[in-house]
Amino acid sequence: MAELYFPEEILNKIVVWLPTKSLFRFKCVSKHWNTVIPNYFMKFRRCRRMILLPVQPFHAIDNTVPYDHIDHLIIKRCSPFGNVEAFKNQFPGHLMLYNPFTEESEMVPDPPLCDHTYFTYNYGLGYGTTLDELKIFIISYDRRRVNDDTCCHVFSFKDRSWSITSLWDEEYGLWYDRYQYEFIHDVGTFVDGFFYWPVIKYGFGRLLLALNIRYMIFSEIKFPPKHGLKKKKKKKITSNFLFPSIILGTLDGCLCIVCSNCSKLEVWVSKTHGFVESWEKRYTSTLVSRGNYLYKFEPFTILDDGKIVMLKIPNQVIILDILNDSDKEVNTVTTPSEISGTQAFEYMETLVSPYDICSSLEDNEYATEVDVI
Amino acid sequence: MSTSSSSSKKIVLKSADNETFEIDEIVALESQAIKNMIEDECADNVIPLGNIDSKTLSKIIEYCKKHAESPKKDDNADIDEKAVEDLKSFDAEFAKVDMPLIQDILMAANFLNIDNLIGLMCRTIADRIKGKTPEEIRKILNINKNDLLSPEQEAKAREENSWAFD
Repeated sequence: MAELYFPEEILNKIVVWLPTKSLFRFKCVSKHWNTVIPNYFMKFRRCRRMILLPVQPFHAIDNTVPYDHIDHLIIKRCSPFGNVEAFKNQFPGHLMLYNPFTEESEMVPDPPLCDHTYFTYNYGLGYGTTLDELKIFIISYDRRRVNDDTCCHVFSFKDRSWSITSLWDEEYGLWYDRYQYEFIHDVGTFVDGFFYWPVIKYGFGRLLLALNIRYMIFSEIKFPPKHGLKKKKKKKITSNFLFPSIILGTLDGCLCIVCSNCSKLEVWVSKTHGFVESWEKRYTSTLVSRGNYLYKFEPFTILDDGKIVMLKIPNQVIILDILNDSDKEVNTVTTPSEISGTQAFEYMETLVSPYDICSSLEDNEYATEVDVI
Repeated sequence: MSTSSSSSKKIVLKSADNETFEIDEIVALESQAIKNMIEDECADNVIPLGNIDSKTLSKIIEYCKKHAESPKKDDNADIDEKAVEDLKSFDAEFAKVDMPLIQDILMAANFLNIDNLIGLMCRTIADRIKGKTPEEIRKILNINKNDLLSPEQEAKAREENSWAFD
């Protein structure tokens, strides 16, 4: 064909498969492309939802690609700072803002009087009362137990500064002894004014620790009732203690937990904060019946739209959609040892730079993932 | 229209270079455009396709035949995984042709409105240009010289998106 001129609708179908970076490069292919690509980007790309799997190197998974095109899901592998391990070693306990799309990164200033040698931190990323009040919460405590002043550092992106709140709560005395809790995940899940962490309470077992960020009060929340709904299966015990793996997330904006073992996976949703009775089992998947009994599964994260990103050990990432009970495999190869305990994130592709994140928050295009290292 | 209602009703397609292809109606129905024609009863037994040459058309028929034979995904929930795999490997093999033919197939598939084939060809093109420079793409896709950006425009586009050229 001598002269080729793809109509816009065809060109759109081609560029949907292209990584965004090459897309921008291709603007100078021709006048036609120079017009179509920005149009396309305005129309579709701005809301392209991606999943970041922060294993080494970082994997960006396109969450908008249709199901049967699995080999195109991973669009990018990148390493901020060249190497996350190097960053960890050089700046232990530090925070970094990272935009996986432009691959820019920026270090978040340290909280004042912060001693990374002796203090351990648990993190949360969440909103204040309005969307532009994005904040980072860090709970710090002294590993040596010399200093009992457990406190919460809050970084506000709006004024780029840290503030400090003591977490001493005499009335409830809950945080009095922080050492009775072992955090299962460092990074908390933020839902509707509360941070949630799954913890192990010594002498009790697993439960959720919730932090009301308005009043800075902690509370304990029990996991779904041990024996679940006994209606049909009388003999089957659905105790969550059968599930070694617990992850937190949101589903349609509600707090949810995904509990799983090597053969079964359950998703529980809590409609009302703090009420054990409000836990409701939303989904059960029997991984074994899918003919997968040879494999082990480890969920990384549940996305708000009901997709569970998980690892089929040793190194296959699969995405399970609980709404239509289907799964797709993502071709990925990573060192298995590094993948365990990883939490994946969902983000929107954006050109917003971590440098000027404060000024651009207002137009609600925040999408740079805060990665906690 | 023929009054015959036998299961293997035939449709004849005629390419730009006057070659005729007789195919089962079920195969022709893969094309939404032909399907509409048949449904509207405005198709004679011979459908002339004045903008598709015989080489392209035979490829397209090969594709439609295979896809017409395969069980449709939404027919029932119990998808035959082997058939899906089989179709996948057929698609992969099918796409292993040179760029001009891919473009011809794409334009023809667009004309005939064969959704799956359009998708397959678009993906194939995307795969082939993914890591390439704009210069290489112009060559691969044989972009018309009249459609190039002026040097100033190009310099501007490159500067604005310099981060994408690393």
